[in-house]
Amino acid sequence: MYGKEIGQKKRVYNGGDAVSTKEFAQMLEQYQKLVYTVCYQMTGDHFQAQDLAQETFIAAYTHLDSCPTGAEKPWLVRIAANKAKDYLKSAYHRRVLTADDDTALTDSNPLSNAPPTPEDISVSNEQLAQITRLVHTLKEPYALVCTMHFLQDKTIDEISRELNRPYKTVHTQIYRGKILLQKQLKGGG
Amino acid sequence: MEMFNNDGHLTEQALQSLNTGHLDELCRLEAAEHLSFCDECLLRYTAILEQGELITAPDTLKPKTLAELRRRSLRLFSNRYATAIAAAGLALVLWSGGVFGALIPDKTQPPPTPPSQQEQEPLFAEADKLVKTMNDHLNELLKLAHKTEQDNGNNQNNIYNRE
Repeated sequence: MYGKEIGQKKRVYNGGDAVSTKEFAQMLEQYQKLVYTVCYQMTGDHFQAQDLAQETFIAAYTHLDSCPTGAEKPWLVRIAANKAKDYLKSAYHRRVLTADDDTALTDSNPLSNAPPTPEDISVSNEQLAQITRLVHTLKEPYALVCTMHFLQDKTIDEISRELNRPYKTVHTQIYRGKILLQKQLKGGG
Repeated sequence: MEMFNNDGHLTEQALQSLNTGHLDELCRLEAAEHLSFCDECLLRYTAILEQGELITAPDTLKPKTLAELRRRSLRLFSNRYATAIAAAGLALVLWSGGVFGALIPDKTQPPPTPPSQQEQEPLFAEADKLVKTMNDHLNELLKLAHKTEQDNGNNQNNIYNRE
């Protein structure tokens, strides 16, 4: 009900359409607890949850015409989850991934990008067998994408289409899967 | 605890743990990433939220959000109309100065004699008046935008000074 009516009334900021602004204020009043709960469950922090909830409603206001009729709740939950995802991804990258020692990407490592020498190939067969074993021990959501990428040589595009996951998500999952595999290799897994 | 089952969807346990706040940072990130594209898990999570107790948002969420929307609307309005007023003012100044006439020469007529200094003065005075009017309008818009930003800044300071 909300999305279609509001979307038809106005789309662009014009600073003066009181009817749509009033309806949006009602929408905000009705769903603020839901959105705030999602943001708090994702971040665990009240201040961050408030900021993300505010960003969620601002994004919702901007894209009101894309709100499916009768599905405002899941639509808002998705926007909130996206905002939380962006925040968590940034925080996680800063805190965890930048601290990782990336020197495991050496020439003798099959997961590196350098061209192999003949000696490297004979060594890498053994390592490839080890990686195959390790990939099968990964948990979802990394196991399937890593199997398809490292063992079946599928591209990110192909994986994204087959699994119906966004390209960026597949890219991120392969990247994290690679880090997990490198850690296990270094740890003698 | 398994976050995902073999078909790549979030387990019921994962969704319940997310709802009760028992997931670590990486698991919450993985859940958020999955919910950003999986409709099935999104509906399951929404249903769990509706069945449970929602957290009351701070009182300031609604007024802050509406104030931010007003601020962005005003900035968009002032950017758009300031540009239009500036363009119109420039066009008037150029027209008053005879630039457009000079650009389209009339070959059937002898070239016009340039206006004398005395003839030009009223034209320049008119152009000056138009530019001044345009400046006054722009200053009013900027004052209004500045005042709105100040009001929002004061509200924000009050909120974060509270415990």
